[in-house]
Amino acid sequence: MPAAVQESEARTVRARFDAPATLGVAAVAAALREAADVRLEPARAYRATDLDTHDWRLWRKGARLRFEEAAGAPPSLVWMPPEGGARRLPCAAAPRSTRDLPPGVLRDELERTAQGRALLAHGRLEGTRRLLRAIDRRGKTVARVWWVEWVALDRRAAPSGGVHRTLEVEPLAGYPDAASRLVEALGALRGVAAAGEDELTVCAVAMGRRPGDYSSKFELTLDPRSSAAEAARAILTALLGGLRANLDGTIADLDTEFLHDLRVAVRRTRSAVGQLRDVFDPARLAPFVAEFRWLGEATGPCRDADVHLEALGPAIAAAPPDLRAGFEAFAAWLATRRRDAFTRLAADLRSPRFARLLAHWSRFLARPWPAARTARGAEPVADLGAERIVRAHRRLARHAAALDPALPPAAMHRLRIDAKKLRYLLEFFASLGEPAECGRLIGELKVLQDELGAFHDAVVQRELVLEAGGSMAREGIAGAGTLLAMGHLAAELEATRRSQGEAFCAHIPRFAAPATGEAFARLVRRPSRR
Amino acid sequence: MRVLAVWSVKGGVGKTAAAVNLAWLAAASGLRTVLWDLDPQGAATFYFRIRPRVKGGGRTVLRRSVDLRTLVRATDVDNLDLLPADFSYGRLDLELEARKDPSHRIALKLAPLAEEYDLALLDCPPSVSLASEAVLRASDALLVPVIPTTLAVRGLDQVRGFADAVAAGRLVVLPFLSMVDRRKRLHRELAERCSATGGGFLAASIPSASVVEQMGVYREPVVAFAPRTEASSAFVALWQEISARVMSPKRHGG
Repeated sequence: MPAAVQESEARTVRARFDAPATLGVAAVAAALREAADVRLEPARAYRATDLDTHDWRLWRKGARLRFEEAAGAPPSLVWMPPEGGARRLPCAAAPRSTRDLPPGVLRDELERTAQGRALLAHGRLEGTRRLLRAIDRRGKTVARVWWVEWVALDRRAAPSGGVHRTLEVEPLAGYPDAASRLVEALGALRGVAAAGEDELTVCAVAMGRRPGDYSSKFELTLDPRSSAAEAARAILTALLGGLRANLDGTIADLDTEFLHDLRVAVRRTRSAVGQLRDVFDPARLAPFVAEFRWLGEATGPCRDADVHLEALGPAIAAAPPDLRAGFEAFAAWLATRRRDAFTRLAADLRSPRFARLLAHWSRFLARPWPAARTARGAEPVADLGAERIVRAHRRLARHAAALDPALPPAAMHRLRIDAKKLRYLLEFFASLGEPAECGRLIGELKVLQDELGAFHDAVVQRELVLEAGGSMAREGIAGAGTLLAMGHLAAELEATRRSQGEAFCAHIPRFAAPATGEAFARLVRRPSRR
Repeated sequence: MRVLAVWSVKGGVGKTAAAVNLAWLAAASGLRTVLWDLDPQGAATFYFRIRPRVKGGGRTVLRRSVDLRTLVRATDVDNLDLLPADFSYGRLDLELEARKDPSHRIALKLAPLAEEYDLALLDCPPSVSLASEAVLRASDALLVPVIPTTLAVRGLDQVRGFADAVAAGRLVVLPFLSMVDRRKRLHRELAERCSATGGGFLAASIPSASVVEQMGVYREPVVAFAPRTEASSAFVALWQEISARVMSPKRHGG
């Protein structure tokens, strides 16, 4: 029995089939007429573009978003939420983000899933489709069967692979029996089988992607029997993949998350290189350390401006109404700063220096690493991982012991870096430990990091507000209203800094306790003893 | 989800024609729309070729345990679903009276639909009753078709009075002229007077046209089978005005 029509209350789920090349639509119609009164409508040219975020947020939730262009009908956007059913919105062009859509339930649902990320074409197809409409004795449509002959398109919009023939039964709310009968009739047709590879997968592969092929989360399964050198190479290769995956989107400025993820890949790389330096040949590593530091610094200003701009909207909304107009000039100043920072960033990412770094780093990771030249490259990965995690926790605990909410921001920033290093180590070696325990400890770290991140952002943003105020006043572009608004913002940021510092100080003793350190140590050692 | 009720004290004023055409236009604009045919005559249900029957009738529909989403029928139009009429809706008042808090029962029944729809349009039977009160309490706006006759225009005062008594200050009352026959002097004069004096009338008015009556033959809204006619343009203009008044981003999200 092919994929059955599932009825969930009034909503229904589509059933898809692959049809053999020998089967024509007339034969399909004849077979379906055994089960229902079916009308065959004329063939229409059809093009579809499957949209998703770079990291497949819609697909991961079981949802789909498709922009359809069919002859004889206005172009439209079809939203297929995970619970089934479909929502269609007339749309002249494929939206590049949810901001391109009119307010409404569709935009709200999509926004909740895409969370501000750009909507990218991950798959394209074109062909013809015909509607086989099943009607009841009133002439009412009770189910639709779509016969689609299509080819996937590659990035240059050229056909890729052979012609596919797909039959899709679209049940309609309130008429589940009609759809079930059609599904049964199609299943009985010779050569017709439940759809194999998903249409989205076929189209995504033609465009050089695959559903779920990228996630900002670091996911790597290490072999516990591998050497520290092999594991380090695997970790760094995965991180290089993450960097490359976000490069084009960053340069094209598709959304701010590309740069965020690219920076995370760089930070993780720098952290991995530092934490696992004993498995490398120090002489060969030194130039990369300097170049990745340069890359980290080159990507900083634009990301800082992105964070400021993202925070500014809520800050304005929370400000007293009579101060809000005063933020306009500051927002414009910030936007200009971001534009300038992005121009410099894009130039750096297109520079021969960056191309050289990528090429040399790839080569370095691909070449064999002579274990003789490294201190600990031949050790089992679990031993090295456990030791590094324990050491990173001890360092964090030592710094945390001297903690005081009144500590200068630099000391808090050092703690933040400690926490990040520990978290990265946990993520690198997570596959060697108990997933639940590892998830719990990463979760605890995340709480700390969020507090430290909010603290750090408040410090940096306040500095910027003060710098901007001075600069704008000197240039004569800040009136009294602007300066009052910025003064209010600086005071709010100072209050946030204090409250986040206090929250962090309240959390840290439990996290820095020896028992937590032992939990970290157990985490990675356990598998090596199995 | 916004809830719009098309209601009139008087029958035969183009209420159902307005409801089905507006529902179609709302759906075509991308709004997930559900049309609830509360009129036991089931004309809206008939226009969409759906069987005018609900299992268990009005009694079942009003039960707390029954989710209206299980009774929804898809129409042939994308984004537009229908809750069919049932002859037993003629006794809806009696069924409501037997329930706790009857005047809020329709609002209670509509609440789960907000998860799936942007707009619920209620096609109400012509009466002043407990059911009407429950409909008005559930609605954000009341669309009132008014034929340009002296009595009908006076009847609008009754509608406003009832709306004020039930949901003062919350319910937007949007009257519009319906079945306007420009050949009739009285219609012309009253239509001009209504637009001149304001009276809260929407600018768009629906002409009396045979194409509207042909909806029963084609079993489709005018805007679907005769989009180039004057009547269709009038419904489009009416929807644009209503949409701007009650579906604007500022009001969205309820």
